[in-house]
Amino acid sequence: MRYDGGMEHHGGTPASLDRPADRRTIETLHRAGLLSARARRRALDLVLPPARWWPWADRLLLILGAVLLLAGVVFFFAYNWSALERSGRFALIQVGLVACVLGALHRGLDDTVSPVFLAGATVLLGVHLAVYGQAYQTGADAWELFAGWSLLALPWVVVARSSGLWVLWLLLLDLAVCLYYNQMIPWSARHEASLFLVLAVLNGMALALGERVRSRGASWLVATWTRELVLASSLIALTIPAAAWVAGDGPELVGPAAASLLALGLVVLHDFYRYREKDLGALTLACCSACAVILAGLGGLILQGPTGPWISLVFGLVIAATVAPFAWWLRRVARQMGGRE
Amino acid sequence: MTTEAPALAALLTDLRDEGLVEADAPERAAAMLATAEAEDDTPSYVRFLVGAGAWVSGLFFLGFVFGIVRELHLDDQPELFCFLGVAAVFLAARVRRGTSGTFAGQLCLASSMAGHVLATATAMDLAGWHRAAVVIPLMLSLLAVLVYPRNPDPVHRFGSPFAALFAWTVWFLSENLPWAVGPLVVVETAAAALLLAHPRARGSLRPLAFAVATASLLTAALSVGGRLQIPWELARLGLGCGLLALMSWCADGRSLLKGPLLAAAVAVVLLAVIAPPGLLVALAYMVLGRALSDTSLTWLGTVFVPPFLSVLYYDLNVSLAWKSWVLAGSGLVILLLRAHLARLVARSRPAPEVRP
Repeated sequence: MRYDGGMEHHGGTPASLDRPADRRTIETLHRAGLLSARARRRALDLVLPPARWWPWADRLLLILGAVLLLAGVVFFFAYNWSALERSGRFALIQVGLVACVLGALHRGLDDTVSPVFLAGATVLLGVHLAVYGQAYQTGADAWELFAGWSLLALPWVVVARSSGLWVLWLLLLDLAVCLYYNQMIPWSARHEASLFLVLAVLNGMALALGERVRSRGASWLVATWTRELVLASSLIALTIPAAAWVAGDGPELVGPAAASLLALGLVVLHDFYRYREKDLGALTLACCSACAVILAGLGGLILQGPTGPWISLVFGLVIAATVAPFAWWLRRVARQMGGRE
Repeated sequence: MTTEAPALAALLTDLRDEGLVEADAPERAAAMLATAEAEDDTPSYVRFLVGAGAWVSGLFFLGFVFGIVRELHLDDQPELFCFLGVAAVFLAARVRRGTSGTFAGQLCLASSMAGHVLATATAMDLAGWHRAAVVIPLMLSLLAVLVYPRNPDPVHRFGSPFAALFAWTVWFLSENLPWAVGPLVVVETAAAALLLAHPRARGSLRPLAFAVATASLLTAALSVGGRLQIPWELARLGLGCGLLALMSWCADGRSLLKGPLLAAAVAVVLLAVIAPPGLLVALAYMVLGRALSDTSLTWLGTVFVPPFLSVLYYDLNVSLAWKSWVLAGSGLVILLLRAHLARLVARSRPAPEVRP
């Protein structure tokens, strides 16, 4: 069950005692005389012992250090390009790449640091491909670089078992698809719209695969931010053509297809994230998508009527009337998930 | 190791079992907390949806008002519209107090936002354009102060003070008052921290605390890279000392001169000297959020760390080649520090019992 951990716990029912204790509540009870100084200190040690800071600080330092190091490497190549010999360029990248892979093997694939090493190797792989393309003027298009990058990085991404790395890999794949459309397919409104469909299906499949892996107990996929990020990208890709179509301005075939796929997807999402995974964030994203499409349709209808300042008032009321039921429903679902209904 | 804090009931039960509280402590705590002010339990995702919808609705309401004004040629009556704007704000607060319905709440929020804009725009017109710039923050501040106790909507309680504080920031920057920006950031950060962490701070002030916290980060962000030379020295000192004080509070009396805390203290001092002040503010919110188990606050700080870090490295007065070395070098130093701290932490943990 997913819930905002920052909520106040000063509710009026005994059920509020079931929520996580926090420092403010402890201080409030201490000032009210319920906790002595010794009890307060013991409570703080239990709620947030010194040792509980370390996993958070460890993760922070690891991500920060790795990002800065990788950024330095990438910028080094970007800014010192002309000064380096070709062999020197390849040597540096390959040494770094091999060092990252060896580091991951040395730490063991179950170690928390190994995914960071493999992420570094993935980034350096891309740098290597870019340098190769530039050095030998292969004439490859940009989409081929990203497609090759994602293909070659796939084994590392699979063994790393890191949700962050999977998101990076999916981003590379999406970029490859977008660049393919941009470079290889003659532009037309239909093809531009069909790109949205392809991205939606791609990210939707990634989401489904992720949920399947998670349901089999993959602890490395516990963080729900990856789910919500991938879901958001899939919904955005479907919502844009669907909203354009219902507003009366979308391409034929692709618009209805996107709208149908979105409708089906929302039903599946509702069932899955309300009753199985219980993720309020995912349900909110689905509601945002539904709101956008409904408002696009109603906006298109309103604009077909008589014009005047009254349109603004009507549409303002329509927006409030559309968002309100979703907000009410989400609050109700949140209460049900919290066991308060 | 789990990062989840225990439930309050379980905590009180543990304390009772250790003899540190009375036997009826859980019941008394429940009763005590039940008498505290009730607060809206809407999750943050839903508030965001409601706020976004109300904001867009408010814009259309405004469009309607301005359209009517133009159609009926009422442009020469700014007093009327200023009054209508203020009336809309207070009426929305009154209606919101009496209803818990979502649709009514949405309408009240949208009306209040439209009223804010209408009242402020017409107040500018009344004050004259040479005083217009200061009228905006003054009007928004007045409305925020007067309406906050009256409108219980948490989205409104965030938006109204935030708009006022942001308007003051824009005014300071547009009026070439660089000396005021540093103290503003320090005061906003301190106020946000107090509103969030002080035991006497009521739950109803939480949206205000987040408004002030967000405003402090945006003030620091807007002040970066501008044409104004802002004297940050005192602000750096204030923020650095504040962050050290916060760490000391989080450590609950443990010395900052020992173990991992010493490394953190040294890092804070270093950042206070070289980093953009916004980075100190963002780190303060991350640490405070962690201490209070407040993920929203932690994420608020986390989101602003990468931009301020980018500014730190961008502003380094060295060549681009050297910047890449500095980036990579600092990353390596942080990773080595992490490894060293991991060893310290491992050494400080009690050894597991060995059974014969």
